[in-house]
Amino acid sequence: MSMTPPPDERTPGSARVRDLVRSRVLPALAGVALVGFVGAMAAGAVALPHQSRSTMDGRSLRGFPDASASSVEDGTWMTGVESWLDDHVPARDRWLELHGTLASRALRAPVVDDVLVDDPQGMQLEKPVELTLPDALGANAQQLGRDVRAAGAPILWVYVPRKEESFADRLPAAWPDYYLRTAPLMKAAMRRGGPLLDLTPLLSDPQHRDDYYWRTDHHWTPAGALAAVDAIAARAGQLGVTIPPDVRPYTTHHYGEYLGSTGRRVTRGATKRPDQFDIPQPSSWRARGCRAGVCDQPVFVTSKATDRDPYANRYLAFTGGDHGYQRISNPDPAAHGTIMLVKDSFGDALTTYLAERVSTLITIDERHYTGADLRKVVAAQKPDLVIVMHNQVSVLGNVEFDSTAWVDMAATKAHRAQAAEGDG
Amino acid sequence: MVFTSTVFLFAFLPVALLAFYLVPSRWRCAPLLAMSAVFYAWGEPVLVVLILLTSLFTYAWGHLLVRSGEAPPSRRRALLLVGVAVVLVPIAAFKYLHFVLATVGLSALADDVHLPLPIGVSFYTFMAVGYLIDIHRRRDDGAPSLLRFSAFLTMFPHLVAGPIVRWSHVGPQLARPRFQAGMFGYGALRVSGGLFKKAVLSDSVAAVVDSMYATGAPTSTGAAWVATIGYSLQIYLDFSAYSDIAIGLAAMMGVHFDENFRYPYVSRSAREFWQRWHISLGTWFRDYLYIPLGGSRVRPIVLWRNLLVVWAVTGLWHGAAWTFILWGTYFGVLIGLERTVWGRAVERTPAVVQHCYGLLVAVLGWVLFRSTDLHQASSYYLAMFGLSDAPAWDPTATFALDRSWVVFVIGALLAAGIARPFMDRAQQLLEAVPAPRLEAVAGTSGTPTSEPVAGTDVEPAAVSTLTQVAPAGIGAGLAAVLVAVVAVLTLAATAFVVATTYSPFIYFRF
Repeated sequence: MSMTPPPDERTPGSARVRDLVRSRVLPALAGVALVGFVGAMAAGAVALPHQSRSTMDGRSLRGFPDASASSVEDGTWMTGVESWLDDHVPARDRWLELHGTLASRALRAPVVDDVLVDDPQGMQLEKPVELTLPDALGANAQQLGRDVRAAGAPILWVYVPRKEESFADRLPAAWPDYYLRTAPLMKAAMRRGGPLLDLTPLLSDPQHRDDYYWRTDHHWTPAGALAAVDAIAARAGQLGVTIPPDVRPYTTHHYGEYLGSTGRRVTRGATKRPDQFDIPQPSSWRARGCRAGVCDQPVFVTSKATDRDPYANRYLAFTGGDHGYQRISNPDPAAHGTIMLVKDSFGDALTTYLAERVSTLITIDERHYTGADLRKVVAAQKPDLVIVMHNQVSVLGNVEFDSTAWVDMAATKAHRAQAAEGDG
Repeated sequence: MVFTSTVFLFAFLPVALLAFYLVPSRWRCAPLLAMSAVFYAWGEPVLVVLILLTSLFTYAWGHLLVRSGEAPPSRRRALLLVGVAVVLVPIAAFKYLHFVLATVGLSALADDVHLPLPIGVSFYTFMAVGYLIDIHRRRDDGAPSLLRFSAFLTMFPHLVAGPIVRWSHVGPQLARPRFQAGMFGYGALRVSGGLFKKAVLSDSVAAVVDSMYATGAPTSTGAAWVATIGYSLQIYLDFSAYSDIAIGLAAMMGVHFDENFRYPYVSRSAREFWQRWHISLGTWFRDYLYIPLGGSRVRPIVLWRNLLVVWAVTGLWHGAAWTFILWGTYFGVLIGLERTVWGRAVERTPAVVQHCYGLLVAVLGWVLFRSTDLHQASSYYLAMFGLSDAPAWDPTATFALDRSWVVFVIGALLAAGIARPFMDRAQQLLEAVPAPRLEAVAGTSGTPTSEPVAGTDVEPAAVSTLTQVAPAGIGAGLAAVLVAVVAVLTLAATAFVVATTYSPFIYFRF
């Protein structure tokens, strides 16, 4: 039996409370929700522990700016505070993921942050940027080729196509074909320096290209790198340089889900099919990187591959990332010869596998290299072969990279010093 | 400071509301003024002095005008003219000096003029001018205190991009702005809706439109139409979003602002478009320029003069460029032609034809508004009507549609008023609105009950009374729905705000 009196028998007091709730409390709830949300976000931004680095962005997060009269007057302090808050919004990664989800799935946007995200196979492709070819590129390549040969080593130029070149037919027709326009110019410049191995036909093969590139990263996969190693070995053989095969069985190790450079940019929310960081590996890595005369650095850094952060850059597992100069030694008798590889980050994955085949592998990444003139390195190390391997963006699109570095490393250093002083 | 920024949402807004409600209602203008100054100084740390000086001068001059009540009309008129001239000095110098110098052939001198455009100068200048004119017309007794007037003029919700509110309407509400539960909830609904429209929809369209206009001339007839329709949606979503947020923030502080938009794209003529678009600007020009020039009840030649002057100035208000002047004049000519040539004929056509005409008029006007110069505008017009070498359709048009069709559909539905029944019902139930305005706001007839635009015969609207219609209250079910709507809109907007870097409203540059 219900003890609740019928409405008309309620006490005036309860009716007043009910009216009060209906007129004063319930109407305000939406406002309370909004203010509660922004207030909680504000409190969280101040009180929650602040990260110093974002793996999703691959950069350090900004610190709270110091105020001064001049920085307030010119507004830089306010801009700094806004940047700080942008970086330290509570649950920032989740918000960015929600943005990616809403943009790609709710609004059906095929492009998020200039990355194509609706390819049927999930291949993320970046909008090509316009690049210009320095006038001196061909001449520099020619000079480098002469100098290397004068030092007693043959040289092999290797052109690596960007993913957007290999998948040009899957780019939106409205996007500019900048890379296809500059690729022949870049290859022509490289040819002036010596024989060129163009990997474009190999990596663009419709039967295999989806395996050769990560879906969510602009680099090639181990399959792409291994195919490139084989192609380089074959071409080196034509130049009289033997790069022996690694006849050991390789088994695939699964390191979990991987969001590469574009995947991190558009976040998991806009990523149709995340990659799996599956790495073919021999039973043991024989090659070791050398530091201060001791060769004990792994060429495949497992800790990078197993990083528990979902946005970790697992590509850094290959040789630990970019190095200006690296010497890798492989004492195994099956390995043979000394190779010097001038490369960009595509070379990281290639290095891991190539190093298993040669006795000594010296890598130079001009973007980070601060050592002696290339010609002196060649003269000192006496490699059996010098490989200069690049994609066009690392040469033409890198503001720090001075194409004359192919001839004179000092120019690169001067360029970088200028940039550091604000003149670059 | 931009409404759709983390620093506004997650720092300024909670602090401002807290500061506002922490003090007794009679003193709330103090934190309002202080927070508004911070809001402005955040983007203009030096030029904040300009708006504060404008406020001080306008208040003082208004006092002088009030005290000159018994003076001869000529002296009062002279006082008004001096006051208005002084108030106009900043906008003349900062916004128009370069354009004037360049126009009169002093390009070399113009190139030496590098004055930043103070944010919101067009809005607060017009509010100040209107205030002085209202006092001169004895329709207003002026503000009782400098604090309250300054709080009115600098009130952060309308500070940057309007609406151009009037002292006679807002000033009295600032005497004791109280917390009103229904307005607080309704304000949150408007704020979240505005955030969603700007951050999620407008900025998404903007990415597509900007990339298309960046190429200069359109790549095809289709691309020209897609870009223009996209911009029509973008500017509506952008500007009406700002007004939504401004109206909502004011409501959350217990202050009612009049509507600034009433679904302009359902208009059936150019005249009706301006009754629904940026209403506060249209009524300002009507009351303070068009009517003083003689209005509509004049000889045809004078009517045309009045229309062309008012609409050219309306265009110039938007920016110191010939494209804006032409855009304004375009509407002046169209409204004049509707009055004198084809208005009746259009009214006799089926409603759908009238709506198509009204929409086409608005959309074609935006080409002038968006184009960087007359050359680009002409290239767009030629391409849109197949008079250029551009193909009928190209991949750029396809891709633009592919990128934004969902936003186009949502934006078009919102522009057509799909959310209107819900919003009107929410307002009726929640907000205590001034009685005379309730009918117009909640009406469903499709046309406003007044004609707030230059080119009509309507006299200036009477100062609204502030008779409050007390809301009856709502049940738990509706409260839950409102909370859910606010939550969904706010969360989605937050995701886009966090992901997007600086993205100011279009009308910030005016």
